[in-house]
Amino acid sequence: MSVAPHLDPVVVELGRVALRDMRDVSTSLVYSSFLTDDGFEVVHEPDGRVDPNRFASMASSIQALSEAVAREVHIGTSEYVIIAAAQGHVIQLRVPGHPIVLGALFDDDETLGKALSVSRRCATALATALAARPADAPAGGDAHDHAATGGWPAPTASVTA
Amino acid sequence: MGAGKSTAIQTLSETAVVSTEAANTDRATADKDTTTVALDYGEITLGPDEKVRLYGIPGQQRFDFMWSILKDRAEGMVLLVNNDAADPIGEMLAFLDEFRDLYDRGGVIVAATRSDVSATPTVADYAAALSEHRPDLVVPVFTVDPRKDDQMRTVLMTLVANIEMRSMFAAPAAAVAE
Amino acid sequence: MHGHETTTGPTRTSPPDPFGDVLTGGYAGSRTGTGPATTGITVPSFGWTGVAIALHRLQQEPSASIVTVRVPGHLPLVVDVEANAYWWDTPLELFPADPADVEVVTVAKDPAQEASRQPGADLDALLWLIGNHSFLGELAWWLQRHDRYRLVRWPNLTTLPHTPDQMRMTAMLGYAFLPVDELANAAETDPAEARRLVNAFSLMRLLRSESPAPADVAATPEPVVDPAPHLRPQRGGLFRRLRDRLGL
Repeated sequence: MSVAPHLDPVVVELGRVALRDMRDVSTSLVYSSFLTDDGFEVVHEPDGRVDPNRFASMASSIQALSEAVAREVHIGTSEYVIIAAAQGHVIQLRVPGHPIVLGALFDDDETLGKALSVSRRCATALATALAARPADAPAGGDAHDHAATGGWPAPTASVTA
Repeated sequence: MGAGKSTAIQTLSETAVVSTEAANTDRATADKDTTTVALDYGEITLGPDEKVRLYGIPGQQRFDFMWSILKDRAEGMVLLVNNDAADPIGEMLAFLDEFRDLYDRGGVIVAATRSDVSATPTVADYAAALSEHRPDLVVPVFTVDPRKDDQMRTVLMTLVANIEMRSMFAAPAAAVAE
Repeated sequence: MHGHETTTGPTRTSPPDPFGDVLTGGYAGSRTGTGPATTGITVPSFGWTGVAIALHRLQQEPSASIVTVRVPGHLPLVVDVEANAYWWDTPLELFPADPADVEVVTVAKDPAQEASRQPGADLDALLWLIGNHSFLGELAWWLQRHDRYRLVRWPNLTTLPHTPDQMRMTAMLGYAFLPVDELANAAETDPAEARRLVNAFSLMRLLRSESPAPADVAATPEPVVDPAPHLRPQRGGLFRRLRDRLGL
């Protein structure tokens, strides 16, 4: 994409849809954000919990450091990053094929496996949406359009441990 | 941003530099393809148990958490300033306020890059601004091409000399009653 | 007769200039003479010393003048102190360190000539070299042995050929007022090196000075040889180890 992701309203909107869909399937999701490789926030959900700009900058640094470590020790491409803390965890992974990173904060009600799974699907959903986007697609649009194109399944009742 | 920090680390380091470059989306600030988003890391080995560790950290405000991490661990800092930036002296003074402790103990030198592209400010201009900011300190200010070995060595050696002489000549701290 | 200057207290006048008539016209050549009576040291005015004296004079008494220097084997060097610039076909890497016969002429600027002249090179790098190669390792005449010197600002060292010792002495002068003898002792260098450095910085107008009270001026001609312990450089410090590692 020739326009930086955080400045492209179509990317922002597709990202918002993906984040909301992830929130619908994971009640322990506290905060999530798509960010550019160089630390600009594309979109976040919800407001008020986390400083979105700071989160984006720090997440980009973590992403870059993790990838540098993986290169340094010759274990291939970094797939995801987990920061596990006493009261929750942060998961980061790349949106396949794009200079965009997903950062997601879960509380400690969520298992790591489930958190990683929904995060992966969210990142893939955005990648799919971006791939399906026409070159001159207008900004905005129905938030459910994404579900209709085969991203997330219909929301189900959340299950808490 | 865009002052040549990653290049400077590469020039000084004896080892391959660990870098954390990402695609730069902020072309308005610096027209370059990539930017450092965490740190560059290099080394100079002095002996079996001693290394000089070199860290290049981003200058953009949004990465100021990296400054916090490193400023408490650093012996000194080379502040690279892009002479071609809109307000290099203003940027220099802003950074010095952020790194006040290092500044106070003589652990800062200022190196202006791209002075071949923009001849002003001159080193005298930087020195005058520094003198007005802190009349009690004489801060080394050089022009530098971060690609040049000899110049970067002068910069590094000056930093170390300045730190050592500061500790040699600093007045003893007065006792403070709490 | 003491070997040091007999100037009195903080207030002093400029020392007599026996070479005034030579420096404002004519040929300095190999003519030698006695320097200011206060030093008792004969410092010939040939070589770069005469140039340093001429330039310093213009710094102290600005006038619309330029200094032309003729060194055998080189095209003329033209210096404009007011503009802080010089013009010379000889690159500074080929600076003749010890020219035998140097002609120094100070003349009024010709406005027509000045208007057509291309911008010159920054004078600091040339002053650095002249300062380091004049006065035969003695202190410049306009400087006082017992005065204490400190930097106003650093020279742009990345543009000047320098030694690690010069760098360390520069750092010292950035933090403290020091007389040249104490500077040399603190840096553990040849006193002549400290004097050359101070001469250069003086010419480059990077120094400020303070004079000791008359009672503090030592009566002995011997320099201080045992400075306070805190002025001793750290043996084996990081600077030394890094210098050794980098092969400097």
